[in-house]
Amino acid sequence: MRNLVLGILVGIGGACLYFIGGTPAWYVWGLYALGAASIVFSFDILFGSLEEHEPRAAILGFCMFLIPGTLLMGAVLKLGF
Amino acid sequence: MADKSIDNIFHADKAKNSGRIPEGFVYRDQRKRYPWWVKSTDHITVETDVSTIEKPTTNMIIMSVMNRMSDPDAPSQRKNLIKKITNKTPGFNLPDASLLFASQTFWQSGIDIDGLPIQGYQDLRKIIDDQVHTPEELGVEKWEGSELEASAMVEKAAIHLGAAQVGFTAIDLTWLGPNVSISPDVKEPVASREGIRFPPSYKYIILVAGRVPLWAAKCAPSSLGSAADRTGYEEAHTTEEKLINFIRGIGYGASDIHMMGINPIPFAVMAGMGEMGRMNRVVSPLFGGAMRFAVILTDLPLALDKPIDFGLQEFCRHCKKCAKACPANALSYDTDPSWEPLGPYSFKGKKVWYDDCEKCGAYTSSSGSYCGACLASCTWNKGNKTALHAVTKAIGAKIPSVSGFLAFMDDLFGYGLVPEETRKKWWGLDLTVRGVDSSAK
Repeated sequence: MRNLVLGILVGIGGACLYFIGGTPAWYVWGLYALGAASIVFSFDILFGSLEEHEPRAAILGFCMFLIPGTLLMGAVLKLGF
Repeated sequence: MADKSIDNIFHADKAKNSGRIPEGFVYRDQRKRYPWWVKSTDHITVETDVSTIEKPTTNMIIMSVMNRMSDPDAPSQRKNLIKKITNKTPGFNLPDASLLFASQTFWQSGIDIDGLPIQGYQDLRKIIDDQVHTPEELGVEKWEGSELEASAMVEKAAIHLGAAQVGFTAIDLTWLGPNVSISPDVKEPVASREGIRFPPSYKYIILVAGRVPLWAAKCAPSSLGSAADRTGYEEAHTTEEKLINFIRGIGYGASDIHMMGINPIPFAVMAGMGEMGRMNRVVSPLFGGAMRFAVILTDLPLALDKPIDFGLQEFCRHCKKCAKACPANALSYDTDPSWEPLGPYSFKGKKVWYDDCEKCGAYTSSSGSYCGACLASCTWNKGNKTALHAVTKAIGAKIPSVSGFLAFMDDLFGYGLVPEETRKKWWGLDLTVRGVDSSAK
């Protein structure tokens, strides 16, 4: 279920970039893909590690991938809209 | 002693390097066994030299028994266990100890808390034998099929019966214990005081892997950690017994062979269940050190598996996590493996990181637990709930020289043995059966 929700959110983000952002440069799409992958991965680590009863891995892994992913998405917002 | 004329039937030839896959057998397609980052090979990743092979004169189980019999007042597991239960040492409370004993209820070999061999299960073999209904008894033809069909069928049956994984290889006289031989004089396996004799038709080996519950294993060294260790062994051994009955039920011969007679490790490596790691034990790319083996010899013609290479020889050079975890300081810190064993309990003729069995055995028999800290701390022990593990394992296999960094990250993320004060947390965890879904890769 969590993968479905994350997939829908990534799809909505991409659609916004395509329809609202006009014609973003090719590298903006690259940044978006990297940022989205990083954020999805951070949630995968968070929930997966909690299921494995590894709370330290969950928090560290979540932060380690969420922060760069968020920064990349910030760059996409700046450059793509 | 093994009949030398039989040597040629098997692959104990006089080649410089044993460990090469034997010729004249059918092999399974190895591509579906593992993820893409595990290669199958024609030779094991450990160097071996047949000309220097020397069998050990004893093993740790016999050593432990002899020590115990020669000095009944020596510190025993029983004595230390009682002390730790009384002191309420984390991981050694009464429920932990009781769980350990319950976990090995049906285990058929090994040593008990008094350092003496476990014998009780031998008596159950008759009951197990009564459950077999052979084709002769039913008055039907025995099953016939190709080697590939036989391997696929046995693997499916083994997984159904409880195995985490199975592997197939051929017998190699080189690595059999000194009391096991192949003899054309017998038609069925025969056990006597002199040892065990198998007919030459029993040239196929089935490795049955039992899964060790990961979280409990990480509580090693303690009763709780030992309960996980014993669960893995018992799962392997009870599945082994059921699988023997399955093979007999389709009209072929099959027999278990206890650890005193055959060390499963060389055969597990030949069957591609893993590679030899720094702890001088098998490390699996799927389960790390969290698996235990049982061995079946059979005359059912099977398609064999090949050894694997996932970069472990290079990985273990830098990781050293198991050596740091060993409470007995029995594991090597050397960067490179060696040809020289550290005592009389290991085979000569292979280049590995030998462990000091004497230190390991002494700690095990006096600590009140069966330890297993090395196997439980391995960097390759991971669950399967997050893609993080698949990514890091692929990196570890393809760029093993970064294993020092991966081990550092492993520690940073809190993987490995759990601190003593956290052990009791296990009783409150919401765990799935065996801790991990072993069917997923």
